Amino acid sequence: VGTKAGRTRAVGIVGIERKLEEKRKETDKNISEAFEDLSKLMEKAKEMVEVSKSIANKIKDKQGDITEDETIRFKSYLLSMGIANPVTRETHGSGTQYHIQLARQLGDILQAPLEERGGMMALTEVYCLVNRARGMELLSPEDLVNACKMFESLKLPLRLRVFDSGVMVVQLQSHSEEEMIASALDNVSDKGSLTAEEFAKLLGLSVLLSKERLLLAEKMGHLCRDDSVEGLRFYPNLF
Amino acid sequence: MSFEWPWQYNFPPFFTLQPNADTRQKQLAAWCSLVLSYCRHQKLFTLDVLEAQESPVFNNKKIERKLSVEAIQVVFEELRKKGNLEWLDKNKSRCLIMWRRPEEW
Repeated sequence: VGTKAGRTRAVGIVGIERKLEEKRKETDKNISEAFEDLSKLMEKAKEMVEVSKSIANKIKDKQGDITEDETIRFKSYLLSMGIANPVTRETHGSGTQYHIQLARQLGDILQAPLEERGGMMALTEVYCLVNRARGMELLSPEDLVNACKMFESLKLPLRLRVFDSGVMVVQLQSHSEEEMIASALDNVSDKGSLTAEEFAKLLGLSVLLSKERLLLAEKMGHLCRDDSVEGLRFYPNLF
Repeated sequence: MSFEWPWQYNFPPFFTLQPNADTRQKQLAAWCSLVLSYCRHQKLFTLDVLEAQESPVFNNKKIERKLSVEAIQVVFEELRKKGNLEWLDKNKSRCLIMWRRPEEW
């Protein structure tokens, strides 16, 4: 009985070892196969990049400023491959078909939220709003910026605006700058002086946007600043 | 005879150099006339940049605002351009204040 039991145990261990070995080989094979496929795929993509570069060169020779159908199609090719090539693309077709459509869609989506927020939203806020609503097929930051850049040329009621600080916002076309500055001045005059945080609380805006408003009003000469340890305060410009 | 401070002296933004060019111009003009009238009242002829920062002109204890050394230098430079100030040394730490320009004397 003893020898029999010993033999089965030996077989059992060898069996387990063998099984493990087989499993390891299997995963090894899977991994190496995956990498092989990946490198093959990359090689294919490399060819595509090369071809697209040569096409870009060909377009350069033509130098047309009208949006030709050919270059538009070419851009969608580039986009689907993930090669952003704006330097040579910029002069051949002002954007992509995809971004134009996206801009139109954004125009519809953003109208109501913009009105709710007083006609202006930071681009990061827009990004959150749009992607949260989508759930799938999310937008990349680049796509959003590119689409927003098309607003003007598509005559949509929205604008992309870049502040001196580099902060980008989307605002309604109807949104009036002078009115905004005038209301900022009114608010500050009412309170005597305001920091960006206080102003944000007062208007129910984000701190980022309220600061930009105050800075804009300062740039126009309606406000002046008091920078101390207590914080950066804005006063009506009495000078 | 007590010295009469201009209204700007109790206006906190007066003690922060303004980034807006127009505003800054007006601010500096106000500073120049304040410094000149103060020196005339106190019969001061020379000023030391570091000491000046502690003097009541550039340091308003009531509203707890003080003009920074860099800003004082900008004010002094403005005065020099107008011809009301001359540096006494190369480091620009001491200067001569002239209530009237040399040509007016």
